[in-house]
Amino acid sequence: MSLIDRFRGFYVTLGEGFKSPTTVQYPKEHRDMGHRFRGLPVLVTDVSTGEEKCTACGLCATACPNNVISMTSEPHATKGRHPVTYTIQAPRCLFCGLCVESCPVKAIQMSHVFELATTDRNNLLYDKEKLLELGRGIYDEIEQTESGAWLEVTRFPEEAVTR
Amino acid sequence: MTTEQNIDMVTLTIDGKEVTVPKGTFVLHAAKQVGVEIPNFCQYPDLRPFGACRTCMVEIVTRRSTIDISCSAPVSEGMQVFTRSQKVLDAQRFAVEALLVDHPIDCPICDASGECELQNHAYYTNVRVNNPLARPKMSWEYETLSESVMIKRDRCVLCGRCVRVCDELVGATALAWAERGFQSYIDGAFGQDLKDSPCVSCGLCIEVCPVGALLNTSYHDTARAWFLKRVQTICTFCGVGCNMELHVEEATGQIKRIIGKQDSGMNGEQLCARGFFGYEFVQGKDRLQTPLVRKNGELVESTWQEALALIAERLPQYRGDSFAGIAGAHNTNEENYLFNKFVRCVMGSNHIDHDAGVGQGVRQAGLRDVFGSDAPTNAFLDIFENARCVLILGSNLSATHPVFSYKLQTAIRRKGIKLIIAAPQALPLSQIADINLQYRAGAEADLLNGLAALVAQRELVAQEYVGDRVDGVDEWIQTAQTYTPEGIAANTGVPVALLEQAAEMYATGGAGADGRLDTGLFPPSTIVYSAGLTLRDGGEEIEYGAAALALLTGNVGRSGAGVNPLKVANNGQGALDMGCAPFLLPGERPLEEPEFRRSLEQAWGLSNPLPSRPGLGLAAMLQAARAGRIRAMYIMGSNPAQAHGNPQVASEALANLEFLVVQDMFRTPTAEYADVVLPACSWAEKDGTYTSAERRIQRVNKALTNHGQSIPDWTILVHVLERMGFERLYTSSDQILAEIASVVPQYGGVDRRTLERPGTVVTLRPGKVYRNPSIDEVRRVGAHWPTTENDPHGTPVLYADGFPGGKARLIPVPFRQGQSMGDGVYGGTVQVSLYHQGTGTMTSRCPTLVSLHENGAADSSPERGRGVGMLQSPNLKQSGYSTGQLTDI
Ligand code: SF4
Ligand code: SF4
Ligand code: SF4
Ligand code: SF4
Ligand code: SF4
Ligand code: FES
Repeated sequence: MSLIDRFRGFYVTLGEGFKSPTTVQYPKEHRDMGHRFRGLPVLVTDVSTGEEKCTACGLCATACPNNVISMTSEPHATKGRHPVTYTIQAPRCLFCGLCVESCPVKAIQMSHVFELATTDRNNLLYDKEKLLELGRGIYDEIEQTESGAWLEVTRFPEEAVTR
Repeated sequence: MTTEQNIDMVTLTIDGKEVTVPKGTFVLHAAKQVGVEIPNFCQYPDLRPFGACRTCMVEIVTRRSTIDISCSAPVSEGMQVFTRSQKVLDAQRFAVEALLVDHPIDCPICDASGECELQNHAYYTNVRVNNPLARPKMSWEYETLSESVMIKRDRCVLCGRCVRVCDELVGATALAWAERGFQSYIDGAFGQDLKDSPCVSCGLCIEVCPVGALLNTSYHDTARAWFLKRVQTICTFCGVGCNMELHVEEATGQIKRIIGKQDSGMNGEQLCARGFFGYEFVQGKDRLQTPLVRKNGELVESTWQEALALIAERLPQYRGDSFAGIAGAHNTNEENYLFNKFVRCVMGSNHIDHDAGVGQGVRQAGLRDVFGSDAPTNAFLDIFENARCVLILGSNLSATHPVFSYKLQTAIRRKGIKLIIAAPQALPLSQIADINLQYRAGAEADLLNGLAALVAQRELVAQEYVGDRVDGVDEWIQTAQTYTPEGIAANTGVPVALLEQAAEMYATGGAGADGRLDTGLFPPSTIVYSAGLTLRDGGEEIEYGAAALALLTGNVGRSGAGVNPLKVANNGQGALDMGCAPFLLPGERPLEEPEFRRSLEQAWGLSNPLPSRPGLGLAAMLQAARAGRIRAMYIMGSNPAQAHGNPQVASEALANLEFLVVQDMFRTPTAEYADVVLPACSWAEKDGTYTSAERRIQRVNKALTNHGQSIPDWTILVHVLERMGFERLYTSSDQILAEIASVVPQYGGVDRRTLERPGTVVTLRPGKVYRNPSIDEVRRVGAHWPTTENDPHGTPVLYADGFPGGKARLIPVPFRQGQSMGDGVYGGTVQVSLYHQGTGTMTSRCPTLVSLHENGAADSSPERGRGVGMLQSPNLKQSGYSTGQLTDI
């Protein structure tokens, strides 16, 4: 009786002991973030033109509760408008995702980048080039759900790899 | 200003609120008075009702056809109106949905987004479907109509505001509808390219467009409306003194655009091309960043320390008559006042002047000899409201004082004001003139004195008025007998019949010989010209003639009358009032009168008396510098090297100086001769006041942070004085204004608070605008000098209670056979273009203005006048949508 109880105590341990570990050896290893993980907002490139999708409409900057985003704009031949500069002040960002929700052209996405620690606070000022670099590989795809409806979903680089 | 009396009032109920308005008011405007806003597109203040968009529908339950458009439905007694009933909301929603059928809804890339009336109305009326018919939308690409105007036609709601303001308020008639029905779109009038059309690039169409269809080329896609901070200020170019709003992007601290604003000043929402596009120089790449000091013959960047130390060391050596100062007609009153104090008290010199226009200094003789002051007598609004006849003399006001001329043409066309244009060549306004006197250039004095003589000979003189108010009549009449109609005609080249007609029209206020009012006088007539006209030898004779004509016909000191020489630069009037003239002390008081000097010495607390001998004017100053008699100069915001009629003389003079200090925003040609150049702030970077050509003192507000190391001109002067051993006198421009208010009699009681208060209602004319009392009150900001402690709003009409010297003094100008000065009086120095101001220090650094000028847009030169569209359509005055006459209702 008591022996069985003893083994029962180890039931979970023994059960897990032979599986591969869930813990990853961060920072040596990275784990894949959940699809909806909200890391630093980044700018997305339009794969068909190779340019940023952003039209500098300023809605994200308006939606942002912390005044994190600022931009200047100029006319653009195909998109209408185009950001000349686009800056995110990461230290102020609270990763709420309102900018992403407000963007009418899906030009900004919450990336899976979260390691923002740095020794110089200037590095926390993300300009357009940095943001586009971080957004490389994020794209939208149309997918049919089980119920048959078509849905636009965002793919992140690591998801593309695992698929 | 008049208040119309005995107006029938009507009481009605709107959404349960009772309101009483004058008969003839439209429901929409009545609703506004009780704070009920009704969506609308085609309705626009000060335009005739149009009734095209149908978004303004309301339910009027006391009538049979209950749903009606409120912008064109006049009120009636006992009317019951509902603006938010279900029926109304359904109707309004349908109207907006219909507009959206072909609308691209590309708000994210639309300049209007955030201030778009279609967005607002769609929100207000609860539109939930876009394109219910699901048919393909029409689409138009961006089209650049001219250097200033772009259009994206699929966003247009065809409200016609643009077409109508351009016609009714600007008088350019450059836009029109093309095609019909679904195909309908906005285009240049008569199918013309806007670049060749009479479009003066005033930007009003862009401003009034309720959606993002008409676009401003320089603002396009560079900012978002809701990131702009709005700062009210005054235009820095011409003497009209338009109120404007600078839109500054907070993140970048740059001016993104400028707009006029309804209900802010005389100009309402109107600006001219200079005001609308003239801001790019502020952000100009070649703005001076640091002081420059001459070392080894080269101007090199330096520090404030070094520059000020050098000035403090060198300047005191030139105290007295070897020093001269040139003030700036574009500087604020505070700066000019301080500059005047600096030159007269610290440097002990009366050689002070400013560029009153075309590179000329202030003239001593002229209107001042007759009236006691050479300020314009009547305020602009007073002229528009009350004048019955306007005589424009020898000035292309459409280029020199554009918004004045736009508003004047509206008043003329609406109210049937008679217009006499006397000019050597056809002007844009000539087309709506009743009489065009095309005289030989230079014959202005002959013409005006001749007209006055004709008035006297035809016994149209206002005997009683003249007896009461005018001196020297008999002598004048005697001299006038030397003028014969034939002689005047020969000198001026104007036919006798036309001269007589003009004399009668002016003298009788356009009412004809039996049109006398009950007062015994004829309806008021006014004379308007650019003060630049008289800045030449013999210029005073023109003014004597103008004054004689006005005095003899009783047209001074009355509403709607007067003699109005409009100063050219935006603060030309202020510079003069602040005493920046060799023979005048602040307040236009002659320097030679010891009592004035003494009162000033007292006010300034001076131990040494002020120098008593009048100094040299601008031209003489430069001559003296060339001859070596003036050895040092201080130039603030002025550019004589370029402005002077003979650049050779000016550059020799400046090069000959031992020490020259220049304060400016840019390295102007004048600055090239300087020993020290100090970087000054632009008008958008400082506080202060300007006095416009109608004597209106208005406030300028700081909108931007200082550019580089530049500081406002008055601060520079304070620093210079400090270095020269004076204690720090002022820490804000308001302190200087307070001193001005106590020292300059005309500016008594003026302070920041009185200038900043919201506009005061100056005219109430319900039932008296074009079947539409949309503007039943006009607000005025600022104050017309003379102001006093008790009446800080000032005096729109001068000399209503007599002249400063008791009576006005007529000055006879004898007739001289065949002596008109002929062509070329300006010696090629005047380049009158709508797109440039003065020497172009500011305007030539605004790319939009430069390209408009270079591409020969309307009014860029006398040859490229306007009128193209109008001349092609001589019957335009009667055409469908053109403004008719004002009707009483
Ligand atoms: S909302 Fe989207 S398109 Fe608009 S500025 Fe932000 S990122 Fe660009
Ligand atoms: S005009 Fe108004 S509704 Fe149309 S795209 Fe522009 S902002 Fe949007
Ligand atoms: S003049 Fe030109 S800019 Fe001004 S309202 Fe007419 S079309 Fe527009
Ligand atoms: S361009 Fe603008 S102002 Fe002109 S009709 Fe269209 S919507 Fe109205
Ligand atoms: S230049 Fe003159 S008319 Fe034009 S906006 Fe400025 S003050 Fe008004
Ligand atoms: S505002 Fe009344 S119909 Fe357009």
